[in-house]
Amino acid sequence: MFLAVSPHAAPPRTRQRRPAARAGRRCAWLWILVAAAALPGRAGSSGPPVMRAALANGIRLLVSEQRAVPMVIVDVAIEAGSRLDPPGKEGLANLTADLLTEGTSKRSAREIRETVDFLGASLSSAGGVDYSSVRLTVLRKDLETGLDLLADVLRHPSFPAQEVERRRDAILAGMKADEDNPGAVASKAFLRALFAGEPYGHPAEGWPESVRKLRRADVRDFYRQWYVPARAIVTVVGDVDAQEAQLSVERYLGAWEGLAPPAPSYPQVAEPPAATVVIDKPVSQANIVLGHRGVERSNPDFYGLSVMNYILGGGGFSSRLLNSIRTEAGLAYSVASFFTVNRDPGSFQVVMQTKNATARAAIERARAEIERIRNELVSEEEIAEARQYLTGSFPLRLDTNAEIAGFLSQVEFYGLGEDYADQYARRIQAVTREEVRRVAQKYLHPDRLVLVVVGNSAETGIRP
Amino acid sequence: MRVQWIAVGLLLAGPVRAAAGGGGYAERVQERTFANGLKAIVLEDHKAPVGVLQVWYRVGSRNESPGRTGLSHLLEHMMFKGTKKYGPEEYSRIIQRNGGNNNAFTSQDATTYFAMLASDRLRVAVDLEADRMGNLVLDPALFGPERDVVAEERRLRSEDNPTAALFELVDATAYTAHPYQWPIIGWMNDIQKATRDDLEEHYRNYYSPANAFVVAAGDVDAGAFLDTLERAFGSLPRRALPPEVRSEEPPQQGERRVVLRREAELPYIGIAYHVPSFPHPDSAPLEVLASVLSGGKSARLYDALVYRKRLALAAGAWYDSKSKDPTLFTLYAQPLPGKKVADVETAMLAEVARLQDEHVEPRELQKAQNGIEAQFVFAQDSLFYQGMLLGQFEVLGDWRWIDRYLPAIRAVTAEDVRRVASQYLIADNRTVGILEPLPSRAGRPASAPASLGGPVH
Repeated sequence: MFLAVSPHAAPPRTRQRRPAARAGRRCAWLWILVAAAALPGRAGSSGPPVMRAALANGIRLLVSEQRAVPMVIVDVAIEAGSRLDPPGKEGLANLTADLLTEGTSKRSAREIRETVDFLGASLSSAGGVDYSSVRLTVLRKDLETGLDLLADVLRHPSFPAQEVERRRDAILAGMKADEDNPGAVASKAFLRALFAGEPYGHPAEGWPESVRKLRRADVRDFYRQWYVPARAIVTVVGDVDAQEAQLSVERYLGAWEGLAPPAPSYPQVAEPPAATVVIDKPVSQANIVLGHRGVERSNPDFYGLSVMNYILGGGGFSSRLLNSIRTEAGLAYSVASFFTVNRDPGSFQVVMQTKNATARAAIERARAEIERIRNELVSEEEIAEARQYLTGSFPLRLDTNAEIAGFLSQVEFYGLGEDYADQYARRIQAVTREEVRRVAQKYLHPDRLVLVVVGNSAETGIRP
Repeated sequence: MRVQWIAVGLLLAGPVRAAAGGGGYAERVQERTFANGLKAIVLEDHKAPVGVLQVWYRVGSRNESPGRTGLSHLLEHMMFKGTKKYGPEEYSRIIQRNGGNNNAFTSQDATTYFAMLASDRLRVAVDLEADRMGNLVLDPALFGPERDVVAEERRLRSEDNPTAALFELVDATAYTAHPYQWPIIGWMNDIQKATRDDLEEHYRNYYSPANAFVVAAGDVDAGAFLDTLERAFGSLPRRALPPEVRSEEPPQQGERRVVLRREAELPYIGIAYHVPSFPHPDSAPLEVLASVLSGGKSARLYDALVYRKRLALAAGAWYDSKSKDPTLFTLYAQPLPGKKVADVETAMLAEVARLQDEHVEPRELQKAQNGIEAQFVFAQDSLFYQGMLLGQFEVLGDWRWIDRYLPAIRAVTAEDVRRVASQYLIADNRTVGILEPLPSRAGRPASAPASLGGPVH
């Protein structure tokens, strides 16, 4: 997913809607933008109210009382993401997360689904890059039943052989279906080109050749090694009393045992030089990804980069890339830039689509904007707008229980601090025009850009 | 992939009902109709210090005609290109400068503009919306590039997306007389040939106060906010209502089959039946029927096709009763590699036949109703979505119908479900669309530098 600061897992492929049922939104970028600015701070003071507790077995618990709607979300972030996939077994973390809800020592896959659906609830698990997530959404009255189920899938998954086979085949088929999505093809090719040989060098679901080889024993071993309470953050948001919620979580997850293994270090390979990857596909648009390596979440320049990227390509109709490529030239519907920010350095990307014939022109415009923001100071007006948006839109990004849960889990996972919401606003406000230029020069590298173009090569005229 | 509007709007598939525990919407909403015919609907919800403003125009692709499809959506784009008072794209910049988000979307029945802001800044959007309801400037110099942008949007959404292309074809086949036959975004030819004058006419005909309504929701005082809205919108002149859409789809008499052959990795099948929409009394049983077939992974289509028979990667049913005119009830499935589409179709139709032959068990019926009810409660977590629901019901006739929805769902019996399955999900009433993949001509890397680690597929 194109989330700039949010390493959220992709949503599970369970609910599909009729693809053409609703079309014609003015633009999809807005939601990228919303996500891109995740983890912001409230302009005035304080994020959502939260109670923190550490359980005896090492679980970190966060509870936020939100009493307006009779529902509860329980979000479990387990530090067992795809970065832990052993080489050659890419996709193992995701398959493991995927299989949690497909059978436990006392419930079959169908029993789990039947129980969840009868409550009108949802219980999903998905593999992410740094961590995997299990999320329960349930009516208040069904919280205990839901927690019982959630604890069961976390603590006692049985990974039945036939379910392993089913999910593996489904993931493989999903990858095949993804090949009909040129944007997904471009995104994967970019990852492979940029991070080959590193833990971030593959999509969480893995590659077809690695997933095909995954066996039940791999899944079981991965689970045993990494699914321990000390690697879990449990976030409860909704119509609950914080103390009662803590007691409930202790009741269902307090007896969960397991020792945390030492986390492996992150092997880094040298950044590749500038390169062009061309994938020929009979489509009407060139799907373009242009970028290079980026930064880690703990980088102190995160705030300067947030402001810089808003002006460059994160700020929708306030951004330079959109103005140049869409508004002025009419070349693309969607164009945006973002940094993927994880525990270790992620990537910087410009993503856009334009008809094959104008691919070169659009790429030139993108390169020109990257150069310009490195060379010239941004205007007073631009920086003021960026600061106002990033700090002012904070409440909008925390106006649902689901968003609050995701926010709290991330703040905890990345160790951003209890006063993060306040810190964020202060730091964004402190970013100057000079600071924007400094971070642009330090973190944007026109000489190292990796360009991926998925399109009709005869029409784009772009060669590797 | 790209975060779609859909994903943010929660699950539109879930129908609607009155607030769980807290009485119905009628108790939480205030409305006022101004002298110029514009109606304002305000929902107070104080759970967060934010507000959403939505301006709904009763115009969508159903108000278009052959050769001029996509005008509603094109006009939606041009609505951001400036007024007598504000320059192009100023609207979005002003909202963002105030820490807000904004966007718009077009459906078959309506065009909606929305902004989300801290509640104490919501009036910024009010003034901007009132301004562009009356004072749009359709600058010819800006029209050309924006038309190109919409063409790119169509390439992105439809042309390069095999399943979307399939469903365009299914719609075009299932409807013969009604405007729901063409895509909301319009056919490519029509987009490229649209003129500025077409949009001027569309704006003049449909963007008048009496053909629009405003929905606001959030941390506001409803009475005071209605005053704010009346001050901003009330002075716009009253204008004549546009002509009604007269089209009516005649009953289908015989199965229609359509095949789309193009490069694709996997086949796809959609089966669409003509059905009524809300407030027709059969719409609630049809919602429950959709939930029995597709409400979660224990539902029949997933359980049979994806789980037990291992025929499909995905399978489900789609029905949105909130449609102005009769709509389609659609079954869909993506076969797994190596599985025959015909076998998948047979398995889908077997599930339909079962629903016609046997009553669903009480527990299964209850499960389907529970799922719909819970979705409704979860929807209240989002201000935006609550505003959407009010707006959708108002488009159908009256936002108060939102409170009739849940009781109707709860009243559905097993016999109702069997009856609507037998009445509507029949061969003569269906259109079957199949995406038949052609082997790729390309799909290989033109060449991959060895240093990049081999094929990039």
